[in-house]
Amino acid sequence: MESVSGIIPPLLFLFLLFLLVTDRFNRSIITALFAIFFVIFNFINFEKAVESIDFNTIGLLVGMMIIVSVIAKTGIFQFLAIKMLKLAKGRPVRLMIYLSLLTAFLSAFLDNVTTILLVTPVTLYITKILGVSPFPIVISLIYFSNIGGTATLIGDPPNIIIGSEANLTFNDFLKYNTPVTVINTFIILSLLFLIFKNQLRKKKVPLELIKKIKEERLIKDKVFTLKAILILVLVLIGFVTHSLTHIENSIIALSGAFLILLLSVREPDEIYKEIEWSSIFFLISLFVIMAAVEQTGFLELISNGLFSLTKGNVELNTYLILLTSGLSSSITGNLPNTLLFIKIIEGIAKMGVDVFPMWWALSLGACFGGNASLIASAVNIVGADIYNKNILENGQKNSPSQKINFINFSMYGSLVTLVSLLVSFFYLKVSFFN
Amino acid sequence: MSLSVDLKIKDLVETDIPSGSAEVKVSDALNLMIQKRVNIFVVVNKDKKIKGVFTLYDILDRLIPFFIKIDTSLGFISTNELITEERIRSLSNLRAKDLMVKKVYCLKEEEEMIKAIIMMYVKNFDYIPVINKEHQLVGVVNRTNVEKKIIEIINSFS
Repeated sequence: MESVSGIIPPLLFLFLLFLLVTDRFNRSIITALFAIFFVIFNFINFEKAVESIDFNTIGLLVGMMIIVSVIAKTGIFQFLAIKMLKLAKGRPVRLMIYLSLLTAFLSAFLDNVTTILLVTPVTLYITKILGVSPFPIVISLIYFSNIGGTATLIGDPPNIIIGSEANLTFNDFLKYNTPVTVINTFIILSLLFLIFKNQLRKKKVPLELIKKIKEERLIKDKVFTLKAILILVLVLIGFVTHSLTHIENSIIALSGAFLILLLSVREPDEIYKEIEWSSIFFLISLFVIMAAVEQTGFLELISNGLFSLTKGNVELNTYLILLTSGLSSSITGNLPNTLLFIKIIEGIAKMGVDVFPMWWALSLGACFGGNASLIASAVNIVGADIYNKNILENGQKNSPSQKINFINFSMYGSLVTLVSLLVSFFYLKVSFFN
Repeated sequence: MSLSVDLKIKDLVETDIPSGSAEVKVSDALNLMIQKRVNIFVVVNKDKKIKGVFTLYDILDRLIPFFIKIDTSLGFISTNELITEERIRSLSNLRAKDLMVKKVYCLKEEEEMIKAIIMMYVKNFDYIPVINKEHQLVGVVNRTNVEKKIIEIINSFS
């Protein structure tokens, strides 16, 4: 560290993390104020601050948010959920399995929060018709939204950032993250089945009632829905063929976004409003803050410390990153945590070490860590909120359901995370260190 | 130029309205609302002071499950008869106090008609309770009362 003033940015960053944990202020606003403070007091100069913002990440996020917000309004998510009900022939346990798989699949390609926002109400509707408790199913869907997002480059924001910063492609994620996500999905599904099967027992299934549901009415404009899905598929093809075309992911996503806007009958301004500006500003500010902290040399100290702690053992270092990123994500949320670890891993790379496995450890830790507590990921809060408001509204003494609160979510969630991290540990061991 | 009509709230107010105590059953309140063709029920205490109100909107609100409120498309795929029936049944156990909104915007008899017009236009109120100087319920002003007054004024010109 060059001078005493070099200690200020890391300390301020720690203070910011503390403020984020306490959740007293809106995270995007407080982080933006910190970033502005860093620039005003020259902890980072303006040019460097602008340079530090990864526009590939921002463009990819904004592009996907636009595509998702258009697809979300087509009704296709709800349509698929009712299809799962019919496929399960109304049997609650099967329904839980099918809906969980659907949610994991959708979350792998689309924003997790949007997925939960659309799948939860229809699940509450379905469980109402079946007369079973919605608790096990909704809580499972939340867990699988976080798990499914791990599978691809675009599934979860940490993956987008890691992909962009570490130059990992969509196909790299398909090769390294998708298999472990699939394995983990089936293991967690079995675990949740064992935990919840008794709560989901139901003797009589109202098959006649289920047959009467006209799910096709959920899709308002069939032609447009098909066009929107086609654009999403083209965007995915664009990601997969990146190594041939060399078109940046952000450009692919943004082309899909503006093409879908062109075809949509909705006003573009109305769709722009659905972009999560709060997350975008949060991320931009974090980029600036991390760059300021990085240039003090403080992060190199951590990298060196971590590296000497494990005596230069890459394998041990990888597991350490998996564990610490998994645990810290559940406390600070996975964005600040991912950016911090990226800098630390880059520091380790400078020592001439092959850090490739560490990127996957970070991604798996940050994404799977989202299940550890109710505040670990935005999905958890959104899903629990819809569920609880529904319970409250029913208000009822004879309500068969319990609320999703911090304790019960974190109890099952930390178990889910623990198992996911164990699966990741074995996966990393087998894939890289055998 | 002198005005040929009076433009005070007391000249619009509808006095024959459904009102009663907080303990009135919702079904009885609804019956009164149908009888008097007014879609508001004003809850008053013994001194005729307003304790709360509920309108048809508050009753409809109880009939729609939360998950349909946030995803209205789910209300259009059939098989909702059971849910609706259950909801209506749960209404029958309720009393006025369970439905009423306690924060009530009122008008005073002596105030000008324009106040009612603004509340209807800006806040989209269908009904506004009217009280006297002693803060006792006098009646309500509704959209029809305003319409009638407008006609009355137009006729007075010709």
